[in-house]
Amino acid sequence: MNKNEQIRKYLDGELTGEELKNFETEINNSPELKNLVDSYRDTLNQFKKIENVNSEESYFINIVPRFHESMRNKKRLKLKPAFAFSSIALVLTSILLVFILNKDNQVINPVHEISSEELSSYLKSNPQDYYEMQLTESVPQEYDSLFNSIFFNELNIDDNSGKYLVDVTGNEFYNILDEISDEDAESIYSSLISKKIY
Amino acid sequence: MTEKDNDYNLIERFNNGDESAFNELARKYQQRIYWHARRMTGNHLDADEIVQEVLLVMYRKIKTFNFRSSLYTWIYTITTTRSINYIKRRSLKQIFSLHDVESDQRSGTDLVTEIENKEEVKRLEKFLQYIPAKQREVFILRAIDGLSYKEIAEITGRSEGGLKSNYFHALRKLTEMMSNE
Repeated sequence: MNKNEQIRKYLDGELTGEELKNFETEINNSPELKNLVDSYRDTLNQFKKIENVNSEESYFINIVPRFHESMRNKKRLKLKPAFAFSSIALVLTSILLVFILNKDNQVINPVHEISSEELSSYLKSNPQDYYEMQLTESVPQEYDSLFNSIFFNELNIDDNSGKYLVDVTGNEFYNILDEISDEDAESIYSSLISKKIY
Repeated sequence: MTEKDNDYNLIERFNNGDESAFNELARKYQQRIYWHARRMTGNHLDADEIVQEVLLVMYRKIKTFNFRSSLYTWIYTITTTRSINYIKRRSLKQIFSLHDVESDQRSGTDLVTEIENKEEVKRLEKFLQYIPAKQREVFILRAIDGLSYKEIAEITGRSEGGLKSNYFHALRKLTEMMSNE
């Protein structure tokens, strides 16, 4: 057993019988060893004194209430993410609902589901929209005049007749159609089918 | 009734929904927790935070406590682990030079009421901070709290032989420092 272990055992009270007796004799015969052991014992005594020191009671009285307070705060904090999550979910659901409802309102029936009567009625009530859409929106403006000149050229008609034709095919077409009698219509039809255009 | 029986009854009551039983347990051990943490970390604010953390662990985990060891051994284990975590955190702060100013501010609060003791406690706590945490841990548990090596082995999970060696190294270093004071 080395000296340090012997000193530790002695200070810890682990030496008994012959071992204890021999070590005590050694201490008494060696002032150096005695000083060393005394200095260790003194250190231990100093630390032992701080085992029970008088301390502020108010601090210890408040430990448990503070603990419960922090527990309550933690529970409150736990609720916050749940609240935030449900708020976000609510907002997203609202946006989704608005989107779905608007989408339902904007559904356009496919053309094949529209009856010919409905189409005819629509075209009669909105001729301007129809022609404007057909002649101005679907045809790029730069091709419009070119198209007109080719068209008039092919039909061998002058500018004034062309303008009239455009007007007729535009706003007044259906009004004129309504004013033509059955005999006139028959006459126009007969002259048209007998006329050789090409 | 022995201390172990008393603890057992309090835990049983708490497990059956009696919150006041936990308060009794907390009051019974709060001083030991605080002073152990305080000696380990060397300052009041860290010790105060550790007390609250240990109580929280007790509150959440005491239902699983099976009395294979004594309750105070279990509480010391939690306190020691938390304290060492705080010490490691502080070491990191020291590396990044964040600790110096803060430690001075933190150690300012003192609960010791007698002026003579106050100076003595401060002086001895300062010495404890100069020895490695593992030696400090054993020295506090053995020399101040008076636990046996067997109990300290339970708390720290280290062998009794190693603990005895750590304890004597700590005692020797502290004695040297105090004699050169």
